[in-house]
Amino acid sequence: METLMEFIYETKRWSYIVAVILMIAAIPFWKFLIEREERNDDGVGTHSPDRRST
Amino acid sequence: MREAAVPEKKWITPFNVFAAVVFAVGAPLVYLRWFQGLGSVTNLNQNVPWGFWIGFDVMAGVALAAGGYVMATAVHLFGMKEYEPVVRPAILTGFLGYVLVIIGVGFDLGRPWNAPYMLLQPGLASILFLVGLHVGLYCTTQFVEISPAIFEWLRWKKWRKISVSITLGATIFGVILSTLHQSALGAMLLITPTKLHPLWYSPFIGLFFFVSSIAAGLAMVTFEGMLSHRFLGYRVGIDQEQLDKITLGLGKATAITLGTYFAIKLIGVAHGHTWALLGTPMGLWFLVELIGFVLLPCVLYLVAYRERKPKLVRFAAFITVLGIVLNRLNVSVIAFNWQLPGKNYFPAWTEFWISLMFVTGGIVVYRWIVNRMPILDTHPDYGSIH
Repeated sequence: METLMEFIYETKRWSYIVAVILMIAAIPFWKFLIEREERNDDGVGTHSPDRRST
Repeated sequence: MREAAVPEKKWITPFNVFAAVVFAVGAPLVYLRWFQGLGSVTNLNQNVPWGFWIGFDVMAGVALAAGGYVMATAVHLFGMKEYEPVVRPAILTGFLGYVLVIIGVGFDLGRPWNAPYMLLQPGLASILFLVGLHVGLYCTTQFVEISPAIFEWLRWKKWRKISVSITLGATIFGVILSTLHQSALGAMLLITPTKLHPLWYSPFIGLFFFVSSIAAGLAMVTFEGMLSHRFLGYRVGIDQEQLDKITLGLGKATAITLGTYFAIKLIGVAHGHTWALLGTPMGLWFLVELIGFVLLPCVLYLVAYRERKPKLVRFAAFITVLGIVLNRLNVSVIAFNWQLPGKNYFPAWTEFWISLMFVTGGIVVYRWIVNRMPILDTHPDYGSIH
């Protein structure tokens, strides 16, 4: 019978490895997405609280 | 409101001719469906009771109608009022989409007149019951959300005031309903681990459906905004520059959503230990869906937003819409009962035609409404509801 530890460390090991890789990959993804945004500052795609509706 | 010349009213236009042909051919098919039964117009059989209508009209239809709750949430709950010009078109599209879903289910059910028994003898432990109840409730909620535009058109000020006052509550109720039934459509397949191909089956399928519905909704709003500007430009209340800004903002949101969707789909493969199946013919088909219609549009959105290219956002939106349709057809038709001996289903042309008739009907009604009510623009007497 599979124990909880075996389930976490063996059975689902690849799930955690893939999840960590994807979380790390999210950093360059985000940086690539917003890099020009900060430089252009044209308000496109950005949302600040001062532009909130009532 | 943007000043633009209203075109001279002409009855014979390419779209009207196309719609007339679609309806003229479709009318006898509808007669056959209702008086000769499903077998006369579909290739469905006892082994394949779910076909193109369930995959396209219902599964894909619900996902593509998600723009209503996505945009209403963004504007009314998150306060992103810069997207307000696209809220009403999105809610109207969502409402019409749900009406078409209900009509589509009516066509696909063997005995649709038994549908009210769902409420009289509710199967409270059934996910299908949840989906049915929520689609009905959400359709009503969207009607409430769009009702200020109807009352503005009718100039019923008192009723308009009442309907605006309940917009926030209706939006919150709509988000709750949408979150549940978008994911429940996928969760419905949790009882089919032996029927659905392991690459598509996952304990997380409800989450997949919900996240992909957000991408579908955003893509549809983008795509629809382009079509409205192109063909109903004289009614649109914003100029091209403002539409481009909104399009780019939607592109950013869709890039993030598709990136998230791609990630959780990969985790689903890892979690299910189905890596080895990727080399099989069905696995390659799965990769076509995942890389061609999720990762590719995600990269296109990324580049388009970064380089400020609204046209590329619209192209990516088109691919995303196709991808959502493909995904819903995969889970409900192609990868469903994939091992069944003798499964030999390909939709009859009449199935395609009746679905085409639904879509065309939706466009005709949408055009009729936006030509009369303040959907794409604001009413001069009222303006924004904020």
